[in-house]
Amino acid sequence: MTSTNTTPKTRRLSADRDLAAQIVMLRSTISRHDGELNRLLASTCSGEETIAPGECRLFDMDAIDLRLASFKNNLDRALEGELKKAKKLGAVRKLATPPAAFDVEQMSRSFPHFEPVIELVRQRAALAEITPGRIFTLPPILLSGSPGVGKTAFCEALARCLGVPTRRVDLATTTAGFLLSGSHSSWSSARPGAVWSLLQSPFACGLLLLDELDKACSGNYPPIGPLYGLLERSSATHFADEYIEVEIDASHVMAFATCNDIEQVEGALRSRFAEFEIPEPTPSQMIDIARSVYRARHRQSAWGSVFPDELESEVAERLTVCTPREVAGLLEAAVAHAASKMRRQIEPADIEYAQMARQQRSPQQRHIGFI
Amino acid sequence: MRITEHLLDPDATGPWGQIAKRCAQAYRQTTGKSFDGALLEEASFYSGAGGHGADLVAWGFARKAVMRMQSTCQICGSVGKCRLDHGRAEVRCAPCQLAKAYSWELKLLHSTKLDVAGQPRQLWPEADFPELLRASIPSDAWRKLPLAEGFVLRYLTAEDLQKLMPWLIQLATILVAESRDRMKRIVLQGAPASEESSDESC
Repeated sequence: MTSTNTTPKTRRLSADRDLAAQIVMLRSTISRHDGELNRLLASTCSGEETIAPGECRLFDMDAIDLRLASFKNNLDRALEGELKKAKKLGAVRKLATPPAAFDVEQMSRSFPHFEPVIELVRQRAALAEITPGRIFTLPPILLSGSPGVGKTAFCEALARCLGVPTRRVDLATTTAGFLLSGSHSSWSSARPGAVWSLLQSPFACGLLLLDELDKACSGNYPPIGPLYGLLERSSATHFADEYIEVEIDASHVMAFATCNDIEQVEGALRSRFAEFEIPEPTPSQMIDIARSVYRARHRQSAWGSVFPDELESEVAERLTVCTPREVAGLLEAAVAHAASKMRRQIEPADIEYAQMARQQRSPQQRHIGFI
Repeated sequence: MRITEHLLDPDATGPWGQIAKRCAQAYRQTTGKSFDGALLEEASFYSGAGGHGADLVAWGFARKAVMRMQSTCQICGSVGKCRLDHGRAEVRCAPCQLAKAYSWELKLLHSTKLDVAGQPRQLWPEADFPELLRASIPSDAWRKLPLAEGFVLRYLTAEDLQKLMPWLIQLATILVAESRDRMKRIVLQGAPASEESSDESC
């Protein structure tokens, strides 16, 4: 018979020597059958879900619990609501899957002058198709080009195509970085930033549309500070909203920025983007764009039920001299003009009328002083 | 198994049988007389001095053998402890008892799923778990509630426990299977197999 050999380790486990011996044996059994048991354990830890391919952990649930517990005496209802909402959505969220090939082709027809960007989307989609979980990601993309070429419309169309949440931040009107990364909860008007808000969905990704980036790079307090961390993958995995104060993995956020004058954007920020200069569409491309804009307006507007589905070629040709932004306004005016003439389809005369009316409304600016 | 004179039978080969036979042999060598097996059963009920008639030497041998049996595992012969098993007192060492105790604690947990008001329990603080179950639950499975002065209350929700249950049951199954293997080895080799660490041998 062997005598009991109680090591200091077993003594610490329990004051009861016999129980301590059982615990040691139990733990040794668990470690021997680690692999067999771990399969079952993975789905049980902290009530957290298993991370399947195509999903990612957005935050640590314990961190949310600790944050909730930290202001028990000093209750901030809005903050508590945000944290509870995040808890309810779960720590593990879905990632974007590649857009359908049909949708990409549709985009290619609607935005023919964005072909280099669409080609990047195609390549990334092909890469996603061969990876486990079909995770689709895009690098931060900076679209530069003259006003009205359809940069913002393209980003919005791409977001619809991907089926992920979109958050548009107009940087031209933003005065501080808290719009992106939140303001500290000690401020009375504190609230979370756009990145946190974007990720309050079943997805751990989303499309952050940063409009007019060049307008935000001037001034004493440029609001683009949080972008330096957000656009760098290693630091984006530890992104913390100042209001929420919980680290989140924002590395799957797809950032799309637009600007008119790329020279106004700081070099350090530009280096974080894949830059694309969007040219003015050619007249032949403009016909496709005009048709695409008409289809979109037809779908969205009440007059769509009365007017034909497609734009006449003759009418589309009249629109080749406009920018994509002008097309939408002209089409609306042309539709109204056609209706006033008791017609149910647009004719070239309606476009001409709309163009003339537009010129009359905005006559050339008169310069002041000596010319 | 009870302490009776049958432990002296030739077919009683377990650890207790060996103790009883060694006791009878030592008495015979000392006094030259045969040992009365009934003293063993009597000594298991009454351990006072001079409990039986005139032969105090036989009584002393019987008492010593019973005391040894009461701290010897009936299965493997290691140092054991008296434990209640369905109303019966059994002497088991920690490794021989582990599988049984763990399964019993799982059943106990199942029976306490309702609170005093008869409602399903929503929260399971760490202290409410039986010792072995508590020790087996992986540390990262606990939810943590920070308390004053740096203390942390670990707990599981009913949902967590529900999710953890397959893991606990699987562990209990492994323990029972290992215990059976161990007993088989003991029967075949006549001694407990070498344990992995010195803590496990008792």
